[in-house]
Amino acid sequence: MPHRSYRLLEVDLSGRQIGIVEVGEKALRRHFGGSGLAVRLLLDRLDPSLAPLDPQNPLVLMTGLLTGIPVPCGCRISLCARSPLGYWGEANAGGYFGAELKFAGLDGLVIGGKAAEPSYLWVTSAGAEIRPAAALWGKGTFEATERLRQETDSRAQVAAIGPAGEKACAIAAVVTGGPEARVMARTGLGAVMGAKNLKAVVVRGDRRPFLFNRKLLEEATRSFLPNLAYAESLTKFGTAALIESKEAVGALPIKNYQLFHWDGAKEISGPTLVARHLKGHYGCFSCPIRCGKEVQIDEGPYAGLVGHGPEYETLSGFGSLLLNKDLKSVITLNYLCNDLGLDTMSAGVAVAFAIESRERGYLKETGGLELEWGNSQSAGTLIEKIAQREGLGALLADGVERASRALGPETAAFALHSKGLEISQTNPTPTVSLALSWATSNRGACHLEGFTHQVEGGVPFPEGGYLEKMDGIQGEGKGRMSALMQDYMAVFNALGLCKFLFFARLSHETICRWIEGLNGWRLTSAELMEVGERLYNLKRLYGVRLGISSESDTLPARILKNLRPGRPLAEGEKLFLEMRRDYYQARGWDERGIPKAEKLRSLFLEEKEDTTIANEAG
Amino acid sequence: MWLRIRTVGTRQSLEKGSAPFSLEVPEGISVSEIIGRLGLKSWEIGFVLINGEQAPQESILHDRDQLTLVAPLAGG
Repeated sequence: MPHRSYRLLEVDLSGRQIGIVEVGEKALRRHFGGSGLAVRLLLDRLDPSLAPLDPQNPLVLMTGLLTGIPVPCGCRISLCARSPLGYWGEANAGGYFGAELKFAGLDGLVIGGKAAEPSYLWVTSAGAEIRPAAALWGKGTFEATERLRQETDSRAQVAAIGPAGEKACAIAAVVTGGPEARVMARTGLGAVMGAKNLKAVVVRGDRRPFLFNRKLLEEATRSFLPNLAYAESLTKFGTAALIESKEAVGALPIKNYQLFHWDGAKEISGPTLVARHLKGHYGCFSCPIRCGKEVQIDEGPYAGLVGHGPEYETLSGFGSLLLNKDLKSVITLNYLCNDLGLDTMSAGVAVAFAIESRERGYLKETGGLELEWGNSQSAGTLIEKIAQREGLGALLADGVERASRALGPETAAFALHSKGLEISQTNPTPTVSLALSWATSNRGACHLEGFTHQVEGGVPFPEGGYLEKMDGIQGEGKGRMSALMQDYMAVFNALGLCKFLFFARLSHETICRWIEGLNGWRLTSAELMEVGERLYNLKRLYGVRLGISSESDTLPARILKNLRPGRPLAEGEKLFLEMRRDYYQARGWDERGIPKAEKLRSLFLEEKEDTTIANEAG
Repeated sequence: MWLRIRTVGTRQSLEKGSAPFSLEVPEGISVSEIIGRLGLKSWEIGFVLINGEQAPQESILHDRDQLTLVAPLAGG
């Protein structure tokens, strides 16, 4: 049967009920899958009166349309729910979990309620069951993964939370693959699993998805493969390759975004990581790029550690952001976060915020911790305390926005987040669209929802009309470009494709041929982008129903100041507001950032349920 | 005229280092010509900095300019 519908497992943990829900072809074609179909389901079930961690809020794990299909980098899975930060929650990972779920004959899971005791969900091609996991509660993700494989199947794929998720930290992650650690990290969804008493989801499958036209799919892949030359540095050095480039252009975040250049970049760079610590390369399902790096530490206080190599965001967050040149300690902090089930990106920003708050006198009591720049040991201790909500860790466990509220309004300028989500690791000075992209991102300050700084960094986006590098300093035209890139990236999330294919100049034509090879649909470039626009607006509507507006689409003063370094803050603010105004216009939203009724009609007109949504939001 | 050049993040510089070097070139040479002379493809360069300021690849260089050629920020 052509893969033109989705088969979802619906689980009620409270009532211990498990059933199957089918999503038909029409809905699938309009949302594709991944976080696109997830937002459709979650918006329909959203009850804004519930607290974010109320177990009645469902949690959705959704494969992309091309996840588990033999196309390059068709590996990703989305995890979506209302975030403990309050708004739209979405995390995404590669690895093998998503493909395994497809092989179990399922396209996604919808999990509601709360188990009476700590539990895990065991899913196979033959069915699913809720099993007890009390013995694993409190354990790190690595031990939990190993023990769950022993209990089920040594080849099973595991998505587990650690102590951070159990303690409902709003920066808690869900870790797949154990020490291989492909992490659904952002927006604190580990806490949502914890609130459901759900330690893990364990999957084993043995069915390969049906391909409508394998020959077409393989031909499209063959003609695309030479493009992987564009991603060669990722293969050799992983995303760590970026450290020195970002430092050279002033984009590396240093000392909590206070500095623009640093003499320590080489120490934490990709070449140094590979030369000193590389044990092997790692690729996700069907990935020819293989950007993952397995690393080891042979000597010193961390000798014997073998684990997932820190990626760019983590190298920066535990390195330059903290003025920490000790690469071994960065590897160790990464390992620690993955085991505790913490988002390394948010954790780095939280530690930097604590150090600066201490330095400026806003944080009086540290519980004996020597919080200072470059002190990786105290960073490690603080991270453990965050995951356990102990002492100072309890202040930071829900992210820097809430910590800043507790410490006082003077700290808001350097509590680096948008919509509560800690910002990713790129100073937007040389690529100003990044600030717009962060501020308007549905899940908070995330670079991957827009990836717009790539267009300002020389990666072409021909289907959007951007053949040449776009000037990175000026704000002109950034509204339209950002909206189009966000739409396009929403398509990637819905298809389950890795965004590194964007560097490899993946064309819409190739994507359409892959989809046709999968299930026979003949789509056009315009249809792809229309789906992307629909999905971006759906996520916006989810936020609007929870109170999101232009007031939420903003950034801390430090970031706005960095848009025009050396100039008054007002200049950075002006640039940002001009870009945001243009963006709202390009989107067809009003000046408060609310989608206009005519825009919604153009995207959803013929569907009764979508028209209802338009009326509610308009 | 003489230029001081540094490449960062390209395959070449990731493998062999990104130490700056001096190069003698004719007057009126452009950044894109330098990119060609260094055996780089234009897509390998995402950012051009002339004396620390962003500039397009068509820019004409002057004596003693410090030129930094940076790969696209692909990833992260």
